Amino acid sequence: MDHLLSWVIFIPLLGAFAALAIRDHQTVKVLALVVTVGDFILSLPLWLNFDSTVAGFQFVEKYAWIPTFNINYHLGLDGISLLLVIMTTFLAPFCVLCSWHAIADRSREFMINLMVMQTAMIGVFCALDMALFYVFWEAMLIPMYLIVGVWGGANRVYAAIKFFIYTLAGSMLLLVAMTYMFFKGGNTFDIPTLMNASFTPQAQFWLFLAMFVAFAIKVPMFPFHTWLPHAHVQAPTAGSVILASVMLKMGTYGFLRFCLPMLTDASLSMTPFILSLSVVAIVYGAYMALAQSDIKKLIAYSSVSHMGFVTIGMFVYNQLGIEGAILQMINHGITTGALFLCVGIIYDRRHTRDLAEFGGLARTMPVFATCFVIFSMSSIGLPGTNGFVGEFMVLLGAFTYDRLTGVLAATGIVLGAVYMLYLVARMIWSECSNPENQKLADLDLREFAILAPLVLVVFWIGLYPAPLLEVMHSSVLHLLDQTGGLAGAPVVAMK
Amino acid sequence: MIPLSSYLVLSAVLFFIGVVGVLMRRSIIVVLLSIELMLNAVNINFVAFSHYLESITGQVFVFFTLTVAAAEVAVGLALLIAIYRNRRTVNVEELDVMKW
Amino acid sequence: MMTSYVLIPLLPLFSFIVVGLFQKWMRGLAHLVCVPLVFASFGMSLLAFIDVMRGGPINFDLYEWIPVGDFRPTFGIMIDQLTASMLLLVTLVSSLVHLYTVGYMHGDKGYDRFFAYISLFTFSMLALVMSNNFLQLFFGWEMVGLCSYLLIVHWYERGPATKASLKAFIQNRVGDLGFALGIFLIWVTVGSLDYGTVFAAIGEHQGETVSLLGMDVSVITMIALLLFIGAVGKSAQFLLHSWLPDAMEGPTPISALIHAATMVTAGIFMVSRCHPIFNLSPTAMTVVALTGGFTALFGATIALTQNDIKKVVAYSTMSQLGYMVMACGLGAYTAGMFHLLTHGVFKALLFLAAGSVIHALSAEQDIRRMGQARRYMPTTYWTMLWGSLALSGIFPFAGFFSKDEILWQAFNAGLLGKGLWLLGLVVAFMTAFYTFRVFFMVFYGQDNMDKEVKHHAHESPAVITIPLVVLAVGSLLVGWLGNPLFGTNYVHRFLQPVFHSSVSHVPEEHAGSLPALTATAFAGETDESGAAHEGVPMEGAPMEGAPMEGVPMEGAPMEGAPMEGAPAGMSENAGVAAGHAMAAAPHAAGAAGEHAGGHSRGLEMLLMALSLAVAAAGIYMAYLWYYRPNPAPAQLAATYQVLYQGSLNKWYWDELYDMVFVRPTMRLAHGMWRVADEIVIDKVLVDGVAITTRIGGEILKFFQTGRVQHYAMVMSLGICVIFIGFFLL
Repeated sequence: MDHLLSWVIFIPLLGAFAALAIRDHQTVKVLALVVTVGDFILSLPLWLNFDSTVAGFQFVEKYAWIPTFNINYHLGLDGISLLLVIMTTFLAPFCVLCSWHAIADRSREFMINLMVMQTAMIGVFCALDMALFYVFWEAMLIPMYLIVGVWGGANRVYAAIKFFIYTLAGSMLLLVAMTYMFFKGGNTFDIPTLMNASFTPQAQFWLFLAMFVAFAIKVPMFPFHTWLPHAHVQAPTAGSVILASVMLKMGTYGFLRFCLPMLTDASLSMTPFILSLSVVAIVYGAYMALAQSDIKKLIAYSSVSHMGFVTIGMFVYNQLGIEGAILQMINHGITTGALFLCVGIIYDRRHTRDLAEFGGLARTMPVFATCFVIFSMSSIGLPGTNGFVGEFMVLLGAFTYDRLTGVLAATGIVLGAVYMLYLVARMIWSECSNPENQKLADLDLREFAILAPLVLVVFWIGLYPAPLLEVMHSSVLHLLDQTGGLAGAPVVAMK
Repeated sequence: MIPLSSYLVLSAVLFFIGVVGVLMRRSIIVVLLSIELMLNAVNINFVAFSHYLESITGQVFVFFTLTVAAAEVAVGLALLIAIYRNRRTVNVEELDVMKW
Repeated sequence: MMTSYVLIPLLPLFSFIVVGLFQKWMRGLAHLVCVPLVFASFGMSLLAFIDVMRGGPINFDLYEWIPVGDFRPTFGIMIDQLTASMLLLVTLVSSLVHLYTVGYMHGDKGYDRFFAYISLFTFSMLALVMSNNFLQLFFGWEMVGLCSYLLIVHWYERGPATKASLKAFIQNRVGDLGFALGIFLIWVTVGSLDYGTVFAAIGEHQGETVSLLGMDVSVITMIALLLFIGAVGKSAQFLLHSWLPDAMEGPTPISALIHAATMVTAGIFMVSRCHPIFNLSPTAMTVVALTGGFTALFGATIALTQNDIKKVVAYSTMSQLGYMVMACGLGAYTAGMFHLLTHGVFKALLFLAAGSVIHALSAEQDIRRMGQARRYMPTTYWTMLWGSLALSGIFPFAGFFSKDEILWQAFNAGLLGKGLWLLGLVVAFMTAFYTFRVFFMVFYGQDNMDKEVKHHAHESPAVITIPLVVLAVGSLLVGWLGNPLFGTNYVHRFLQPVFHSSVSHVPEEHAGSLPALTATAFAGETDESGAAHEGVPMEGAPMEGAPMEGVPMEGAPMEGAPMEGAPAGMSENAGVAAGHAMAAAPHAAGAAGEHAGGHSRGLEMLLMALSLAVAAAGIYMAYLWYYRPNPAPAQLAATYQVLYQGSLNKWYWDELYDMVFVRPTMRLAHGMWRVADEIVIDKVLVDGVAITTRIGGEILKFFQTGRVQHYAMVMSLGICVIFIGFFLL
C-alpha cells in the first residue's frame, strides 16, 4: 500500500471528522474503537516490512507543501521512531476502552479529541520536516488541553492551563531554534538535510539550550517537572495514559532526533550537565514518589524518575545506552500506561485515589491485584519483565561511559523498589478493613481485555526483546556515527 | 499669487484644531465633526499641491476623500445613534467598555 | 538429549502457569498439578546428576536474551558438579515441601496461589543455579527474591506479613544493587558475562585498578566485594540480615524451602561459583571470611534467647549461613558447599518439624507455651530430635561432618583461620545449646500448653510426616558422603573439577583423581604461565588462605610430577591455558593442603573430638536448664540484664535501621516534597514566572482606561515624539 505512513497518521483524523457527523455517543465510541484498532493493525506492516539493515529513513513520502519557505510534507521512519509509532497505535485502543464508561459526559467529543490527538502524536514521530514536526507538536497540545481541562478532576482548569502554557513556552524556544537553523542550515527545514549541516559551536550552544528547554519540559526533566503531577492528577485516565506513555516520549525523541545528530558538539559538551540532571531526576523523583499519598501523583513522580534513565541512556553515546533508552521509552509507555489504567479501574469503583482509602485489594479483586503487582514489578525493573531489560541496558551503558553516573543512577533500582512496594503494600496487601473495599467487584471483561495484552507485552519484552532491539541496531549505530560518539566518548575496548 | 506655504499653514492649523477637537471634546458628534475638519485640512493640502505640481492626481484624491468621508459620516452617525439607544449618552468619557 | 534438561526448570514453571492462570477453577486441587511435576523435575535432576558424574559438565545456550552489539547475554543451561549438587538439593527439598504443603496449608484460602508461587520459586531457583552466565544468574537471583516476597506476604491480612515482605524485598534489593554493579564491572573489565569466558579471562586483569572515592582499588577486589554485597543480602549476612527473621511471617513450608534450604544459600552458591574471581583477591576473601564468621556468632547470640520457635530456627539459619560464608572466605569452597547441602537437608527438616508442631498446637509459636509435646506427636518428636542432633553437630549426623570440615579447614588456614576456628567452636557450643533449648522446651519441660490447644493437639497427617522422615533419614546419611575418616570423601571428589580448575573445561578423566589434577594445575603454572605470573608475587594469590601451616607441603614435590598429567590441550592453547592455570593455581595450593590434611589424621581426629565435646557440652547445659523447670536461666538473665535484653531484642538492629534509614528517608522525602518541590520549584520558580507576568499586567492595566480619546492622545504624542526625535537626531 502506497502512502502507508500517511494513512496511519491520518486515519484517526478522518475518524474524528466522521464522528463529527454522528450524533449518537455509543456509535462514536464504537467508531473510535474501530478506528484505533484499525490504525494499530495498519501500523503493523510498518514493522513487518521494516528493513532493519537500513540505517536511513524508510516509508518516505515527500511532497512540496509550502514551496516559498521550502517546507515539505516529508514523512519517514527509522529504527528510532518505528517502535514509538507502534507503541502509540498499540495503546490507543486501550485509551478508548478505558474511557468507555468513565467518560459519561460528552463522550462523543472526548473520542474526537482522542482521535485528533492520535494523529498529531503519530505525526510527531514520523515528520521529517521541522515545520511539519512543529505543526504536529503544537497540534498535540490542543486536544490534550481540552481532555484535561474539560474532562479532568476538580482542579482541572489550573492543571490544564499550567500544562499548556508551560509546554508552549518551551515550544516557542523550539520555534526560535528552528528558525535559526532554517537560515543557517541552508534555507531548509528538512531534518535529514539538517543532520548534515554544521553549525558553529557558539550557535550550537544556544540552539541546544533552546531545544533543551523545549524537550526537557516535555520529558520532563528535573526541575521542569512540576506540571506533570498536576496534569496527571487532574487528567482522566485516558489523558494520563497518553500523557505518560506517549507525550513524555516526545521530549526524549526530540533529543534523539535533533540534539544528538544536529548539535553534536554542544551535546557532547553539555553531557555532564544532562547526566547530572538525569541522576538528580532519578533520585529526586523517587523521593518525591515516596512522599505521595495520591496514587496518581505517586506514579507521576515515578515517571520523572524513570525518564531520568532514558535521558541518561541517550547521553552516554554507546549502543547499549541509546538502545536501552529507546527500549526504556517503550517500556515506560507500556508499564506506566498500564499502571494508570489500573488506577483508573479502581477510581471508577471508588472515586478516590487516596492511598489511605485502600487496602487488601488482593482479596476482593485478585485478578486486578495480580495485574497491578505485575506492572509494579515491571516498574521496579524485575528481571523477566520489560522494565529490567531497558533499565539494565541503560545502566550498563552509563557505567561503561562513566562509572560514577552508572553507580548513582543504579541507586534508582533500590529507591524504585521502595516507593513502588510501598504503594503495593498499602493498596494490594495489608488488611481489607475499609468496608467500601470489601464489596468491590473484580475486573470485568472490558477491563480484562485492557490489562491482559499489556501483561503479555510486559513479559514478551522482558524475556525476548530481540525483535525490538533488532530494528534499532542500524539506526542507532548510524546515530552514533553522526555524533562521533564512538570516537569522542570513553568507550572500553571490547573484545 | 498666494504662496504654497500659506495653504500649508492654513491646513496645519485646521488639522491641529481637528486633533485637539478629537482629543478634548466630549460629545461624539463634535469628535466626528473634528475628524471631518482634519480630513478637509488634508484636502486643502491635496488641492494646493495639485496646483503647485500641476498634476490632476491631487484633485482626484480629494473626490475620493470626500466620498469616503461621506460614507464615514453615514456609518459614524448610525453607530452614534446605536450607541445612544443602548447607553443613553453620547459622552465619550462614559464610553469606556474597551476596558473590561 | 542433553537439551531435555531444560525441562528441569520448565516443569515447575509450567505448573506455575497452569495453576496461576486457572487458579479460579482449581478449588484446592493445585497440588495435583504441582506435586507430580516437581517430582518429575527431581527425577530429571537425578538423571542430570548421574550424567554429570559420568560425562562431565553440560553447557548449552537456549537463546540470546538481550542481543546488543557485543553485549549478548543468553539464557542457557549449565550443569556442572556444583550445579548438579544444588539441583538435587533444590528439587529434593522442593518436592518434599510441596508434599508437606498439601497437609500444612490444607483449607487455606490461598492454597492454590501458594502452590503457584512455590512452583515459580522452584523454577527461579533452578534458573539461578543452572545459569551459565551472570545475567541469568541475576535473573534467578531477583526472581527468587520476588517469590520470597510474594510468599512472605501470603497472609497479607496480618499486618506484620506485609511489613516483613517489604523489608525482605528492599534489603535484598540493596544487596542486588551491589550485585548488579559487580556485573557491570565484570562487563566493563572483561567484556563478557559468560562464566567460562569471565573466569578464564579474569586473571589477566590482575593489577588493574578502579578508583573508589579517590583510592585505587584492584578491579578484581572491587568485583569480588560488589558481588559479595549481593551474597550478603541474599544470604542474610551481617548488615543486611534483619529481613530473614522477619520473613518467618510467611507460612512454614516457605521458611523451610526458601529461608533455610535454598534461596538463602544462593549467596554461598554464587561465591562458590565465582571462586576464580574471589581467589584472586585476598582482601575480598578476608572480608568474606570475617563477615561470615561474625554473622555466625551474631546469629547464634540472638538465637540463644528467642522464644518464637521459628525465630530461633531462623537465627540459627543465619548463623549457619555465616559458617558457610566463612568457609568460602577461607577458600574452603568444598567445605562450604558440603555444609550447604547438609544444612539444606537438616534445616528444612527442623523447619518442617517446627511447622508440624505449630500445626499441631493450633498455630502456637511461642515455646514458653509448649512442653511435653512428645506425648502427642512421636514422629515429629523423633524427626526433630534427629534434626537437632544434626544441627548441633553430633556424630554421626550430617551436621557433624560438614561443620567439622569447615572448622578443620579454618584451623589450617593461618592466623585468621585459627581465630575463626575458635569463633566457630564458640558458635558450635551456642548452636547446640539453643537447638536443644528449643527441643527440650517443646517436647519436655513443663507442660505450659493452653487447655484448648492441648485438647486439639495431635500428630500431623502422613503428608506432613513423610517428608519429615525422609529428611530425617537424609540428615543421618548425607554427611557420610563427605566423611573424612573412612573411605573416600565423595563430596570432595565430586566437586573437585569445579573448585580445582576452571569451570567446565577439565575432562573427566583428569578431574577424577586429585594428584593428577594438582599436578596439572602446578605444571600449568610453572611451565606455561610462568611468564604471565611474573610480577605478581605469590602473596597476590590467597596463599594465606591455603592451609599450609604445620603441614608439610605435600604438593610441593608435584612440581616435578610427570607432565603426562597435563592435558595436551593446555600446551596447544597457551593463552587460554595460562588463564586457567592462573585461576587454578591457588586452588591447587588449597587442594594440596586439603589433600595433605588427610595425612595429619591424628590432629584432625583430635579437633573432631574437641568440637564434639563442645557440642555435647552445649546439649548438656540445655538439658540441665530446660529438661526440667530450672530457675538458673532466669537468674542468669537477671544478672546480665544488658546482654540478655540485647540478645532478646536482636541487638536493637531493627531499631537502628529504623532510626538511621527508614525514618530519615521518609522524613526527607516528605520535607523535600513540601519544601523543595511544592514551594521552591513549583510555587516560586514556575508559578513565579506566571505571577511576575500577572503583576506586570496589573501595573500596565492602569494605562488602559478604555477611553478612545486617551488612546488617541497617546498616539498623537507618540507621533510627535517620533517626529521630534527624527528631526533632532
